[in-house]
Amino acid sequence: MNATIVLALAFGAISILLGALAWRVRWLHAMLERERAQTALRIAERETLAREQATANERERIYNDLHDDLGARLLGLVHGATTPQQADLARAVLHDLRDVVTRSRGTPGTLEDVLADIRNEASQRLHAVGIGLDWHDAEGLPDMALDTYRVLHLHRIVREAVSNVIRHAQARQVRLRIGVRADELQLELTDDGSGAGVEPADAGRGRETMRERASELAGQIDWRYGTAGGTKVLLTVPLASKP
Amino acid sequence: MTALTRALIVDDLASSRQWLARAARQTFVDIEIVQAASLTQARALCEPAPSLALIDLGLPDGSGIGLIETLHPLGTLCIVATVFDDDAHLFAALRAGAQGYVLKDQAPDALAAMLKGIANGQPPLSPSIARRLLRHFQPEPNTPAEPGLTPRESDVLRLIAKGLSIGETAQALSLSRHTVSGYLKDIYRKLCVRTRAEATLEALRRGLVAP
Repeated sequence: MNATIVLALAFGAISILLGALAWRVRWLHAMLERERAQTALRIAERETLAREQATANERERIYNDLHDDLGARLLGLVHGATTPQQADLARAVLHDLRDVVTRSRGTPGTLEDVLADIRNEASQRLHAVGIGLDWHDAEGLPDMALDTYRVLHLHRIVREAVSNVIRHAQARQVRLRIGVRADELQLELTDDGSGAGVEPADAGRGRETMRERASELAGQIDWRYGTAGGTKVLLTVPLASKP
Repeated sequence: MTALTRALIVDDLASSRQWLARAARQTFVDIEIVQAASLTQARALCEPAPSLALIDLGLPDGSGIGLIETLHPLGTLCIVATVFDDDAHLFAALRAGAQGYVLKDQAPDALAAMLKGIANGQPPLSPSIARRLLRHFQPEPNTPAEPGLTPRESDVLRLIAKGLSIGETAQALSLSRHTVSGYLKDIYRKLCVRTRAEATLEALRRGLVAP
């Protein structure tokens, strides 16, 4: 009688132990799986990072090569220019060269950062040719991240618009207004010049490039006469979706 | 402004050297100017240390940053001569002790004005460098807390980081231009002091110097 009870108890204890062991083994398996997945993820992340770093290094190297050669000649053109307008032509190409090759603009690249850099460059260029910049940005622009392509396109659209003012408009003042309406970024650049460049007949290849860049951003660009004369460039870009 | 008597101009492009020399002569009328096309040439001209050095960073035999590290402790006013004013190009040089930068693509008058500003304690600051400075001075464990930024200095940096000019920043904070420039100068100084403190800490950590 006693032996049977002891045996039953022993069986019970062993089956509980076995059950616990089986559960433990399953749990260890799950842990191991998770560890493996995490390690794979970490390795993938590290590889991506290393790849990105290698790409960045390669771009920097190409840029340095180009800069030594083309950059030196462009700077020579700036120094040899007979008018501030001529100097600006070469200056804008210098900035293009840097942006296209390194794509290092605006890291970490939030909208606010990109606009600050655009403002800095535009104000320096306009100041060098004696044109004032009046900058208005709306309160509460979303602090969103932009990928390098969008950063590059925004930079180059504004750079080209500023180039057109400097080359053709005979302006004294430029107003740049930035706002957000219904998830769209609205950028409006108005000069107080002659209004040259509004009619399609006056527009050069620069305008086509600007249109292409705007459509790469899934946005729209338009040229109009300003309310008080001059030319107004209107750019609208959706902020939510990727191009 | 202390009298600057001798200027060293280091740039591998002859046209850039002439351009910079012209601006330096326009700003500091009686200054003696010596020129170097490489680091090696520049180092040969550092005895005695020049009172002003305009240094291009991408030199054929190395980076101009090393030269700034040498000259800054000797009391030379080190100014970077650059085409781009972003943090990627300039931050390391500012940490090494450069007290400002001039943009080489500017007209001589504008360049001279920038030089004069720096010599008078009014350094320029671009938005991307201001952002980098804000990140750099964020309190973090394991970095020397001192010297940190004062709230006013942080205010100034935040506005510059948004793309406001020094004049616009002064207006927004109801300060004079002069006061804002003073803050910028202090920030430059703190960056350099902090960099040296970090270097010492790093050396201690690696056991390179006795505590």
